[in-house]
Amino acid sequence: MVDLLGDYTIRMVTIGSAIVGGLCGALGSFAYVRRQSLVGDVVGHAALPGVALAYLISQSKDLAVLMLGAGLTGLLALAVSILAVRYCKMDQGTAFASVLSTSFGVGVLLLSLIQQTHAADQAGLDRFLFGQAATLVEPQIITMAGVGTGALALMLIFFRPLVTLSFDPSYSRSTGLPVVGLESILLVALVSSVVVGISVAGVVLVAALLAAPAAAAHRWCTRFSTLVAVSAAFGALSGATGGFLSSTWANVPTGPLIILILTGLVIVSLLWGRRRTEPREVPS
Amino acid sequence: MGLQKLVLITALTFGLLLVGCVSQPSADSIPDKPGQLKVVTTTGMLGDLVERVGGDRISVKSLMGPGVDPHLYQAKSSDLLALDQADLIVFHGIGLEGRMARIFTQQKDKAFEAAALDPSLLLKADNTTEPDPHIWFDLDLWGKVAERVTQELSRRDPAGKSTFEANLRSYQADLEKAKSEVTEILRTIPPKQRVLVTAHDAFQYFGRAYGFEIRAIQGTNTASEAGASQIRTLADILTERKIQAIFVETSVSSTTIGALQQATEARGWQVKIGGSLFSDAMGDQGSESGSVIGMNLSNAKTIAEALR
Amino acid sequence: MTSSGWVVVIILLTCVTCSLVGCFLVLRRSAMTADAVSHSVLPGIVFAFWISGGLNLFSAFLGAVGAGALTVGLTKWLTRFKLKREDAALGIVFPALFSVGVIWVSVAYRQVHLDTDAILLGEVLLAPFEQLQIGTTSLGPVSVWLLGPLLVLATGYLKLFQKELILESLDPSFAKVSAPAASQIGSGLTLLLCLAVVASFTAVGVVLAIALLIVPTAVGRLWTDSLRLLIWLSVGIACLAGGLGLFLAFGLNLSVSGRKGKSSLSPPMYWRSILRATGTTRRNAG
Repeated sequence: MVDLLGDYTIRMVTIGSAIVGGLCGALGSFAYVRRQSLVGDVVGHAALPGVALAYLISQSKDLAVLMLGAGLTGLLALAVSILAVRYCKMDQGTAFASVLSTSFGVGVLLLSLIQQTHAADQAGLDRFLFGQAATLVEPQIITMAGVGTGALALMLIFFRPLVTLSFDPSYSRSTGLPVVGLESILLVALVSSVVVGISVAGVVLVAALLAAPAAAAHRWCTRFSTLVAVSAAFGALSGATGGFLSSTWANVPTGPLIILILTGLVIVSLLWGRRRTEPREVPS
Repeated sequence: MGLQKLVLITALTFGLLLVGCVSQPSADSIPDKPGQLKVVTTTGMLGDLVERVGGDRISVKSLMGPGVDPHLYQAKSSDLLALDQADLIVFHGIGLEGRMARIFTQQKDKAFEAAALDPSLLLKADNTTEPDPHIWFDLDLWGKVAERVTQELSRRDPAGKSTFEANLRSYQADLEKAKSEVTEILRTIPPKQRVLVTAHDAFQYFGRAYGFEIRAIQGTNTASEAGASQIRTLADILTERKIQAIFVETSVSSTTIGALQQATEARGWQVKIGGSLFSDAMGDQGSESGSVIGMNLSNAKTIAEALR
Repeated sequence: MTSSGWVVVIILLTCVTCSLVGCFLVLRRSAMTADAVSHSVLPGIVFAFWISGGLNLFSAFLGAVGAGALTVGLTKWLTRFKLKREDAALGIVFPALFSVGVIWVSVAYRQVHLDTDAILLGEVLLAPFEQLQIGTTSLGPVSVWLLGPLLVLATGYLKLFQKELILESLDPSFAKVSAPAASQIGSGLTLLLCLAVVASFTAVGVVLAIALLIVPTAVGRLWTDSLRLLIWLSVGIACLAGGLGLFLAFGLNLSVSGRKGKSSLSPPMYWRSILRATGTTRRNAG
């Protein structure tokens, strides 16, 4: 085991996946109690126009630049869908699906423009969306860890008001909390974790990285702060296990393996978990 | 009720109007000279071949222009017109074009599968019955493809038979010459270094023709994903045998190759990235690598430079 | 008919079918199901390949529909009995199925050209060339033969069970009491949805199909509260956007539905026009 961890690829893949799993698990619990578990899917698709724009403007395929672009359009898409829910009497799923397909369409339009003008140089832009945990290298992990620490720090600094906001928006408004500011902070943290997640698991699987750990953790605890911790632990554990196992089994891709391990955790939790009640801010 | 009818009527009129507009073929998308056979090819490689064999007697249009990867091809509305107007559609076949090929095989009177050679000549992809389509890296086989295309052109345009056959002979002579040139260029590489490591599995024919061992991180199937274990295996091989260089491809992302380089470095062996090879698409038209012969020579030079 | 003419027919058929079925999807608040199905069809296609032992559009189609139905079924079961949250259930089910598909392909069919594209990356400009053949006679594009009967089926089904479907979407518990067959009729709609979704994937590609399912109704919903009107409006909006997009695409010689990536596919020009429509309506409504 120690010997295997000495191997560069195994170490990178395991560490990288654990970071991403933990981060998405922690912030996913906020999405879970707000019934917005599918934000991962929306931000993932909305990242495509961002990646294309970032490349068009900067002319580089630097990971940090692409991540920034992806994050900005992801944030925009999420904001638009939340506003649509609030002001256009649209239900959340409809808003999410509309924004998702629209922004992805714009992304493909931009990509085909890029393909016509920058022939060979653009290869692999769309690869950003598929995520290949197996190809993680040290500089990438440092970038990811940086973004992740930022998002976690935001969450921890504003933990109490964010929890109040997520459980009781009308109460928060009446007590004079800066609701719009807090909501923006939460969205920024969520979007950053999704963008980091994409580079490991890809657009499709990042949805599960957000949704599954919290759903599993919910069965083992009632108090919300515990839920966040357990969910982060589940995420990190599946990330590390998936990363490690895929490095030793031939031909098994890393991202999907992590998701299957997470799914296994959810099944076990649903069958044998203790709690059957809704999560609460504090135990009653 | 009034609005409903209005919507229905508007939609219907709009639809009918559209059928009317677009049904009339507008701009001619294939260069049209009287008496010429209009040929549409799928890949740029086939376009190059048909142009060499057909000469002045045909006009050629390739759907996938230079630099376009068959996997990333997007149909444009002018392509639709071209397919409608073509006298002959030459497509690669044996799995290269994916879904498009199935469309062509249905149009037997118009479409021609160029690479459907004797199966015993073709390599099988990884213990399966599916043939590996990247045959433009074996110039002998490519000459056989040219033969098939010549026969088909002669059938369509019997008056041009002698021209086509003369063109074929000169093309095959060029291919022959190019093959010995490539062999000559690669001769400087010592046998121990004859391992070609790339991101995706496109060079099996190259390996067979010039005696190279071919290793790729990803398979040909685009739905499969690279696993960390492949990267480790390859890094071990590179370190053990002290291979000098690995290669990126012009039409494939370089991240997987970058990760392999890092992994090898961590094992204490400095492998360099030897340059980029043309795999599924040729270089820009008019440039040196803008033809099948050119891309083979260019690849050989890149490989020889890096593995020497 | 020229192939350009067939393109128009296929686009209009897809627009009408999608917006019609999409209306009820949005009404049931499960719009995201369309996106989920687009990803989870992968294992279905691999399964079909494994069973039939080769490339076969028909079995791949059935496999995809099966996987779609499985997604919806599992999500419903999880939501009702275990998680009590549709969003989380969906977010667990479809990535899990997709993962199974990717691992299966990577382990067993690494080098085989599986042709998942045939289902997921429909290309409407090429659809006219894929003809249904019996013996040696061509009977017109496969897509028309798929979408046409489906449209008839959908219209008939929705018309016949309109009352139960609306009731079941808006108030499931009341529906259970007043119309015992309502939940079976709802399941029928689910199957219809999967058929329509997969058929439109093969004809026009994933992203355009999702867009045509959801956006016309979402836009129409901003204009009216009456269901009858909503259905007409969304069909009209879909046709208008489709027609406009096609017109621009032919005018500017762009691709109508891009062929990109694993599950990504889209119709740039449609998108522009639908965006514009959405923008104006939102302004009017807000």
